Amino acid sequence: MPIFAIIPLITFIAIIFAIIVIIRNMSTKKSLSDASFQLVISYQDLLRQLLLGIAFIIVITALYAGFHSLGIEIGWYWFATIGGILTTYIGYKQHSPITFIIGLFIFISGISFGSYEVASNNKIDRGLALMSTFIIFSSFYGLSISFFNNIRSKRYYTILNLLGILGLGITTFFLGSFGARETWGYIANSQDSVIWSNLKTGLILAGVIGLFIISYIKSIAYFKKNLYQLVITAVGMIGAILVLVLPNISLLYDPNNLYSYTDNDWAQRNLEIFPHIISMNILFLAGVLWLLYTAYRLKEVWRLNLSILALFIFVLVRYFDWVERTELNRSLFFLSLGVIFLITGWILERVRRNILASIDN
Amino acid sequence: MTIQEQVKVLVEKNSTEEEIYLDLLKKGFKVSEIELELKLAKKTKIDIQSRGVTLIILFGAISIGLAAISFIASNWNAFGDFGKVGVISGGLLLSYVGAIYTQSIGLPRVYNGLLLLAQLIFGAGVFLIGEIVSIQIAAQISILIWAIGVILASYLLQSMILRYLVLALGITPIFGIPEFFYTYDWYRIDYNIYAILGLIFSAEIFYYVFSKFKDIDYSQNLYD
Repeated sequence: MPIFAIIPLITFIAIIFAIIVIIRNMSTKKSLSDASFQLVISYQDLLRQLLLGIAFIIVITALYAGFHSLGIEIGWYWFATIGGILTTYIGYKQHSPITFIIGLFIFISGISFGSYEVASNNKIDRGLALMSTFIIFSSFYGLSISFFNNIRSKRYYTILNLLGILGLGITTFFLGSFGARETWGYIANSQDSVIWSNLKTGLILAGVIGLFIISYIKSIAYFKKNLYQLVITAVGMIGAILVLVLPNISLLYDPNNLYSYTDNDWAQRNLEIFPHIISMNILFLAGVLWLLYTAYRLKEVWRLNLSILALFIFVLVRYFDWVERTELNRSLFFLSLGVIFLITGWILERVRRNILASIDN
Repeated sequence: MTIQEQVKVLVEKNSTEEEIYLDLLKKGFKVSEIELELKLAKKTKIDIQSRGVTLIILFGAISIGLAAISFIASNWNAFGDFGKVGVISGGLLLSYVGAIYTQSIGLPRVYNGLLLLAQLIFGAGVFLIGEIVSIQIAAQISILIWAIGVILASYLLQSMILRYLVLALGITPIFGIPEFFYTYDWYRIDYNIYAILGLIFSAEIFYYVFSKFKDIDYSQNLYD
């Protein structure tokens, strides 16, 4: 099946799934733990939130069109970035989680395209654009923790938390595959000189670490018992740093030949980006294990389900990415996979039962 | 047989509530259980019936709307300019008169159907009048004009179906945004019109949402 046929199919399935989740959570619920996934309370509420989201999207595009017709050329992504923040804020203030989500997506599309465009136009390191993805999603996660302490904002906590985890997970997962060799090469293929590139990396690195330390110290007083949640934010920050550092370290060793192999020389190119891939996979697995741990600490079942799903996808995709595909390999792989999953499933079922029992209590 | 099945059988036999209670209490079920099952059984029955009638009427309205559009499109040139405007206005007038009449005699579902038909004819009118005066304009702009009209109608008339039509018409220009900005050149008049209409449409939605949906009771459901 061609790729252009799969994308609409996946989108369609995702929309249907989202509708089912929303409608299933629509009924009247009175306990606070149930309210964390309650996006709407009735069809009227759903309609109201969607209309608000639509109005904001139309305002953003109308302003963009208006400015251009007046001769003021500003990139669409700036409208999307500012409009997205505004939409998110109004969504929160108006009890509208769906408008809140629409706002976040407008913001993400604006800021990611914007940083990519700015980096490309100004010939600066395009790793910055990718780094911004890490920073955005880890900020979402960090921001969600401030909602956690406010029990009345449980819904927004779940949205930001989930979005942060998914964004960080997908980016790290993608950068950890051999398929991302083009991306790694693209990041490193900067117009800058090696010295300037490393100097700039060092400066940004210092800035990011500094910001993180400041937020960490400030958070000690604010987050109190939930400090360990910040670890996921730290995973994002480490990812951001690695994206900048790894290609530049490689440039120091081999400034001329990096990523310049021909397309047929896969083995050599794979070897070149091997440290990058290994570090990203370690980061991914660390994040997933931490998610599993937080599931147990916070007694939130969705974290448990998500982490198990992530592990399953990780093992399956990495097999096709890394292992040479022969019949014997495949059979051995599935055999060992089956045994591992049976044993893990047995252990996890017990853990899960304990968690569910403690939630009921 | 479970209590659910027993209640269903008794309701189908047209037993009265007292008979159902007596029968099931004798079999050892609790009053609260019987009450709940009875409520559910009745609710499902009524909901399915009313939903069926509503759907039939809505499909009828949509079919008539489509028939009108295709009839006009097939004989369009035979009408002349005044004839064309007359046909569209006549269609609109007839549906609104029908809607007012059905509301007065207490047929809310037919009223909703006719209102929907009126909005469909209005939409067809926007596109067809564009053809009369031969304006080369983007389809997204025509849809915005249509949506602005529908949201006004939805504000003035009490009809649930129009709210969903507003939603559908609001989503359509959003899907058309990338195509619109890629197809049309910079500084074309379309951009001005799109900007003005977009702002009017959004202002209408904001006003509509904040005035019509303010009665939703969140006290039992939300914690933010």
